[in-house]
Amino acid sequence: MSPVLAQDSVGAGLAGWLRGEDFSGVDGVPQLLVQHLGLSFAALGVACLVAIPLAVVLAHHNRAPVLSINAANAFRAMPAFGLILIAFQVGGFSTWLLVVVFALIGVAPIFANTYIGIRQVDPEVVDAAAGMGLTDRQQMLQVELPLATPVLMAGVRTGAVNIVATVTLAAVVGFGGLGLPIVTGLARGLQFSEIGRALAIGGAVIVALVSIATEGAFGLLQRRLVPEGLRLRDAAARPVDPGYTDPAQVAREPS
Amino acid sequence: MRTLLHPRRLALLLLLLVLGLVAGACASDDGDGADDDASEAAGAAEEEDGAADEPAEDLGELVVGSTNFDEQELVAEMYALSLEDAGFTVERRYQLGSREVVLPALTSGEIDVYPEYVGTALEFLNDGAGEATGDTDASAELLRGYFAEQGVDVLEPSDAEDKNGLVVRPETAEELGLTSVSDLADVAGDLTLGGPPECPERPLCIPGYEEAYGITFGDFRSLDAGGPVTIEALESGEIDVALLFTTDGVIAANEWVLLEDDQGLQPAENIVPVIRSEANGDAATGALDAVSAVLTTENVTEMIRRIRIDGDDPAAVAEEFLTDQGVLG
Repeated sequence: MSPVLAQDSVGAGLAGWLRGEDFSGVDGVPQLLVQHLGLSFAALGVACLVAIPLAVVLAHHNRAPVLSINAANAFRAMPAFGLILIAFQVGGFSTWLLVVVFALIGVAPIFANTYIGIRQVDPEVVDAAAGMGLTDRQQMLQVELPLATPVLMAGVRTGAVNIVATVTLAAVVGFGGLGLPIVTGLARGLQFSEIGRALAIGGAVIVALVSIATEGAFGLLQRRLVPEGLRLRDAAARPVDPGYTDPAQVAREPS
Repeated sequence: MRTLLHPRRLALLLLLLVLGLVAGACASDDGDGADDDASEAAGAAEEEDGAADEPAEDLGELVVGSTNFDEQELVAEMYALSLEDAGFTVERRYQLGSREVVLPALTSGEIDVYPEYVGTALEFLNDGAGEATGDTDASAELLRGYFAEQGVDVLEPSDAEDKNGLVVRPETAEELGLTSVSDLADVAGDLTLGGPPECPERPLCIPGYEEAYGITFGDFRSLDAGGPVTIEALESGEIDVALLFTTDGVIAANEWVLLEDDQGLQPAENIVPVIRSEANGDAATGALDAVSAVLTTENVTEMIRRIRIDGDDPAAVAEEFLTDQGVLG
């Protein structure tokens, strides 16, 4: 094949690939994106369901403060690649096990941020709530949790980005997702196959873009979920106490 | 100077010293593999192996590589053992990746020798020209020509053959009446093929089946080279047809059906050592030929079965086999 011809067919193949046609045995980008985000959000959901309630309860009762934070940090050290291979050994093509593995990736930042977010709620506010007769449960859900949202959501955002970036590895055990073109391209040899090169580099670029987009989307969500009152208070307090919550908030425009 | 001797600083200094020594020890371990240390390392090895019956003469260093599946590691380990027995210092670099990764490593001198397959290697180097046939010697001769351009010697092929094969579950075979690859022609559109990621571009994989049999599978799933992911996918029904290697003991162990290649798409695939000409010599050729001489399709299949099903260590299986065959010691 002449190089020019090959160039053309790879270009056409790539265009079709982005539109959702199979490209040399690899599913189209939209399908891969759906698989990738599907697994990512399932994992993020599980991570939130586990980490947030646990952190809220532990922080409210101020149980095991040192242990909690250190345990959460220890989770960060877990190698996703090893976990995936173990999950494959144990469960084969079990999507649920993969969800659990990637949820573990997200648990650490979400737990740590929720815990810190709750702990830094002004104790006088909680005292006032108790004085007004709010039950423990009400204090947690109606006072502490809303006041902790900025920090909590920063954790969810970090977790989401970590998960979306890490799900790329799932291609190694036969799951699709955006890692598939990368793994496939590498196996075909970057020096030999123009298609392999296009797949690997294209896949890598798309994963990077999707991670950045996730970061952006959760940034917006974070802004939305912070209660109005807190936003107003922070806006008023900023000149006096700029470092109150997380750095992301500093970048936020006053409302 | 007094401050330097403060107990805490002294402790720190000692710690650094210890760490430095440990790092140094590790580094010199690795260094055994490095070219300039070869003679020194061989000297040390001789001292350690003082009790060995044959004090091996130092012939320099060779790097043995392999691609990414068990049979490759098994055969590469046999090459390594035989070369060591002949007096070479061997560095092992196995499971490097697919041929697309390992072949450039060979031509660039990262590795010196690895096991190849006559037919697939030929079709890889001639860009799928269809020159590989069922005649092992003819294919090997052509392969020699192509490899010579790259400064690589192709030694004598062994009797052991390992081809690509399409494998289905017995239920699928029964339901669709499949015994040979031709039988797939009418039903392949509804079936999913699983195989190595490079399959859609390999002349003896998807393009080959399309051309020789007119078979186009409904879907292809990119998995691994006859490894655990493909096996699991076929077992669990994620895929209907798997591209596996004909020597894979897993096929028989699961009572899976290997479809007969009735149109003879797959050429002769004898296992053959390929070695960089610069690294080759009489001693190396002799050691590698000794391994090729004792390999047969049957004994390789049995050894793969031990590795894949019984979970035996490839290195142990290789050593035991070569010792039994009288190649070692």
